[in-house]
Amino acid sequence: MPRILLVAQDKGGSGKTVLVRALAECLPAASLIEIEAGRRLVELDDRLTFFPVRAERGEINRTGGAAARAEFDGVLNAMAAAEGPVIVDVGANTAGSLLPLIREASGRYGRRGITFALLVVITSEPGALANAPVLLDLAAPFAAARFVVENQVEGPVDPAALKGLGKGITLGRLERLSLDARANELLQKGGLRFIGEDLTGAEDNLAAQFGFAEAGRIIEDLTAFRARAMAAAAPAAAWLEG
Amino acid sequence: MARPPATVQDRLRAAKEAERAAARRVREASRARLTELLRLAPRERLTHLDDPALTGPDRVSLRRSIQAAFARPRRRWWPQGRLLARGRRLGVALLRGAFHPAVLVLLVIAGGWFELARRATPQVGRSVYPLTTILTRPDGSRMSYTFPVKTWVPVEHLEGDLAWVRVWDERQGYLYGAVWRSDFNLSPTR
Repeated sequence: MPRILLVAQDKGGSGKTVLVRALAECLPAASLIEIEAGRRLVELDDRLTFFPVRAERGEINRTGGAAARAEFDGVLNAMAAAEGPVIVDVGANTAGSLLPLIREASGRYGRRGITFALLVVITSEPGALANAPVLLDLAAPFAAARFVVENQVEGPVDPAALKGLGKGITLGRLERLSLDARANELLQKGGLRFIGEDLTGAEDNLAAQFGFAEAGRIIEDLTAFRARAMAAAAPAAAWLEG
Repeated sequence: MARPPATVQDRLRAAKEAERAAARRVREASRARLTELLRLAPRERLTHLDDPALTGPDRVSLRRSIQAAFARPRRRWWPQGRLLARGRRLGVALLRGAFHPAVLVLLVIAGGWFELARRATPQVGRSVYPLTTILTRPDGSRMSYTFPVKTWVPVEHLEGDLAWVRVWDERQGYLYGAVWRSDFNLSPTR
């Protein structure tokens, strides 16, 4: 039975894409759908279907969501055609429009044996805090499981706010990790897949470029970041694995 | 070629193992560099205080090794400081011993016994002359008794010109009698 995990947070910069990359690392068999204004998961191109979102928030609001609905046909079709586990990276300002459409069609998806789950990334940023319960409520009628990952990139989230998200939600945490500046640069370029597959092989190049000691620290930082991001995404990945 | 781990748990385990291995490699490289640097003369070591190959703890070790090398030993001709320190330690140990609960309990018990003995001890007077008194036994019979001159006489209490004295008898306990108060010097104990 195909399982689809929607990774959402309408506030940008919350770390959705990192979590999607971590999920992809946890489950190499999963295919990915990216709904974004621009393609970001370039290193996962062989597993990815990209759907650009052109409608801006202002236009979506003005047309009562019609501008977005027309754009989501391709996404809804791709999900209906799912055959195995699928990770959907729902870009910023998109989940609020997409989730109601999935809810409307949930009966039809159900007849195809497709089950949905939602993973919301939450940070201490007020916009992200406010958006998380909205998305969780929207998904409640059709999601078989709901996950929240607290990304501590901007500091820990108030425990009362996490508790207030309600029952039946699995919580995960991505601790803040200060990366070496060059490690961060490599992370932005290569993503977690590069760390998992090519980093050890690249050690000699890194040592030639930055020196033996710094290369070691870069590798230490990146492998630590990958392991922690995967640990934060693991409960959702386990659901997706079935 | 080894196949990549298949399940989520296996991949998570492999990622954590990779993290540990990377950290181990950095630690080992830093330790090897520190061993090299420690072989250098202290002045040369100074130039490597910010060596990028060293982890934080190893940098601290290097700094301490330099501090130890440059510290000038102080020669003591008179071990005054050491004796004072020993005395201070002894004082602290005694103070701690004095406040030990067992010591406090013993002090309370001893205090109780002391107070009991103090209350049971009568005033003592020294006889100026030989003092003759009639002592009353517990059975009511009487006997004559004389205190020799210049002896200590236990005075139970004073009553006008009289002083009530007591004498211990091994078979009958205390025997009481009265003498003239003016016949002996009273001790200032009460």
